[in-house]
Amino acid sequence: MNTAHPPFDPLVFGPDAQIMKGVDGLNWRLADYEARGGYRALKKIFAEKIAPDALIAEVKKSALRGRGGAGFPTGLKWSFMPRQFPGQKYVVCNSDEGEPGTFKDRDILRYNPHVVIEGMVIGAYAMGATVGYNYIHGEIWDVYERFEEALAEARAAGYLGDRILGGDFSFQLHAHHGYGAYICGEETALLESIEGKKGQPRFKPPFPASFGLYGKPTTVNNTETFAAVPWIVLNGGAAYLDLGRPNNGGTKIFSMSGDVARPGNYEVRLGTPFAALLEMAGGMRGGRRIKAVIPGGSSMPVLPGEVMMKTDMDYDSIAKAGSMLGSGAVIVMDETRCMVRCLERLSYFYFEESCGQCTPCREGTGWLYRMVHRIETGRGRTEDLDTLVSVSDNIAGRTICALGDAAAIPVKSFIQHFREEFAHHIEHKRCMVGERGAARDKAAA
Amino acid sequence: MSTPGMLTVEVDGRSVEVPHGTMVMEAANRLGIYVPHFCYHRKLSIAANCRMCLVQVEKAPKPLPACATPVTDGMKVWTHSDAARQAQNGVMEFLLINHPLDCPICDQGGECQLQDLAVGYGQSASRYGEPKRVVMHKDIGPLVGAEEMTRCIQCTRCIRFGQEVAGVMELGMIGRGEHAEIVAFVGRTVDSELSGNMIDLCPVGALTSKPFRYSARPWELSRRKSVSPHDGLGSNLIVQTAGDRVMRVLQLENEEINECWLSDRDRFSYQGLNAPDRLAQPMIRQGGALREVDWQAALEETVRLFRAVSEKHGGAAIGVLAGPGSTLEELYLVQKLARGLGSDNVDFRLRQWDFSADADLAGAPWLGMKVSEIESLDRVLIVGSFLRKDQPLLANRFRQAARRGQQVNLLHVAGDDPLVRLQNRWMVGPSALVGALA
Repeated sequence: MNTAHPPFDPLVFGPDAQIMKGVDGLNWRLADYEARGGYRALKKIFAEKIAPDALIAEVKKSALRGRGGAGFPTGLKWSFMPRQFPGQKYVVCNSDEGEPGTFKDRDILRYNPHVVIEGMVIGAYAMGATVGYNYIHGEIWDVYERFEEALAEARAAGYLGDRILGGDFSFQLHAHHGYGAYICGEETALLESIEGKKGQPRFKPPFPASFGLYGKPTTVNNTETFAAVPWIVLNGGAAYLDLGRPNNGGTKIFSMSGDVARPGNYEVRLGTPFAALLEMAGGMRGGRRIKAVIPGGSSMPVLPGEVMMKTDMDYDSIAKAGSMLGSGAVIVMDETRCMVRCLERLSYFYFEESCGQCTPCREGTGWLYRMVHRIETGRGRTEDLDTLVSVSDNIAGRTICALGDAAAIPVKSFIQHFREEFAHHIEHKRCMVGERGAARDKAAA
Repeated sequence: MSTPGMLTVEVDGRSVEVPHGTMVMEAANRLGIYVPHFCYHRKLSIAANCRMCLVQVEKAPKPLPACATPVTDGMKVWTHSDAARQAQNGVMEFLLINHPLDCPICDQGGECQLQDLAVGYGQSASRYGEPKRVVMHKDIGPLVGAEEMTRCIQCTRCIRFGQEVAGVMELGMIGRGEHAEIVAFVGRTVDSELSGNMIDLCPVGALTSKPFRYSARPWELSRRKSVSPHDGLGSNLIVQTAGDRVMRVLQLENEEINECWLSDRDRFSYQGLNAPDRLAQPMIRQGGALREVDWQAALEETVRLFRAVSEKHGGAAIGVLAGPGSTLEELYLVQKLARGLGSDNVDFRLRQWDFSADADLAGAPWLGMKVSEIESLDRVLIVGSFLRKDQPLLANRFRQAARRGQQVNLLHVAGDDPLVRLQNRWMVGPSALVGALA
């Protein structure tokens, strides 16, 4: 990895950053992490002999919710692991960050890998697991290599491996490099992939907590979720909750992309108004007007810009506004964006990434894409919009995993909020808005 | 209230008690309620990938697959409610959008699960106006035809059959999404001695019988029940004929013997009946040359020869050797004929040289138990058998039982792989076989 670049301003991730606090792009090594107070949480657990149950209770109190997309309460998930299970148990970190718009886990692992290792050791201790895996997305080889280096450092320093910090607890953590399939971010497909099989989701139940990796109890958490754990242990669940809002504890890294002046990752307290987050990202690029925002990654419903400008960035507020916080990937679209073109791009992604296992997704994602593609290329038919909605309804909720829903939600929400643009495209065989539409208008005139 | 240890489930308003672990599909079947499905097969693992069996379950926000949803006590299921029908119709539409409309030239026509269910759950016209998928045909051997893989609906029954029943994974799925397709391992064919069952399992016309291809329509054929002569198992068959010509052989389900399977030998050897070099007319050797005659002449000549021997040397001078593949009924008639001629010299052991143990045998030698009871044995020792080739379906019984914990041990003279998980195996030279047993 090229490390020749100069360090960046540690405040680039925002003044309230916890996970990314003090991170300047170069200080990722163990010594740097320790200098920032790293591994103090782990030492505290062993020095004060904090019981696993007490740790889980603390995480529950923090209202930490899964940062991978579903927002499931982490403490509750940890408590599902059978306590007295006689065999092997696993913890798995899901760093298979494939959702369009999401690039936070990549930066956590690249700039602060030890915080994930520490979070995983704590999680493993709390759940009584002795082996763990970090499944790292296929396209980020440099990050995988760095994580392997960080693992070696942690093992050498006694933070990982046999008898951690000289105590009774042992935990073996391995990095696993994926091959770049979006579907492997689905936790059961991820487990299949670690097992060396084709990455296809399993049907549930049984859930991983009872039948996970190699059929053993397993908990899968997102990278950012594990990265939040050391802070909670050091400062207490209540303090973490206070960072955010009730039921929405802590800080969250938002990946701002699209038509903003400074795209990038910003770590803010949950409940921060979207307008403030947009301001951190430098506002709209070129001073243009905001048109639409996908607040949680491409599989979440799109919302009109004016709705988002009145919404706060936490799980419950965004749900109330009609979308989901998801993985925290905020895709901002300005007034020049053609919504048909945007949806075409998204639909192509889900068509391309469908694993092909179950019928509605395998057949339906291609159908959706082809219809949107026809509309975009001026071959739309009036009945297409109703068909799009009806096909989406036939996919959503009928599949083995959530990819079917992920493909259907953008289609339905784009048509719901921007139907007139689609209708215009069908009727006039060209864009209602956008630079290309304007250019064509000019050429026609 | 349920009987202790049992769960009560209500399907379409009717209650049934089922044991723990029963899926909604099985509970419905017990009530005689049919839930449409493609990937589900009671002898294979659950895949839940076709989604055709989606049903409405009380308190569930989404329709659930009947094949993979375990029954809970007091559960209420509707298999044909509006919500269930809507889900099923939706899945059927998806299955049909890329399925070719080539039923008129498809060998599966008339016995196609997709065709049948499309009548109940499909629309008369398609809303799909986009280009359809095309999947290249595959050559996977002389028996199973994969000539029209565009018809495949990716139910993975054939894959699961290979892994779970045949004991070797010869077909798999490559690619993803719409590009997913069933293939054999690169450059290989499907060689399992049970491969023909994939034809039966395939719910569409993707895997068809190569020898039968384009030769008849299923509804034109008469069905005759029969028993396989090819191994000691006696698999139950359906022989399908057009006029006096055998067109194909299918399995006749018998849970006690062949379950719903058939070995390739049983399924495809009918081709020998129609082989051009088969002896179809009686012949008489006269002056060293064979001459075709009619049956009357042949039988008269046979009687003349028998009578000549019997008058000159007595009936006991006649010996009758019968083919061991004959049925019991045929063998009974043979011995009756022989005794009528005044001879007790009847045998079917054409390849046996040493009969010294005959005196120690009481009654007819047999397995000592039903074929189906084999699976309940704790430990088994198989001696000197090429099990997979000798008794393909018996090998499958051991394969399933070994998976459930039966200890199968093999003493054999060759490194033949029975594709059964073995507890122990010993390989010895043929001359050392008896010594090793002792």
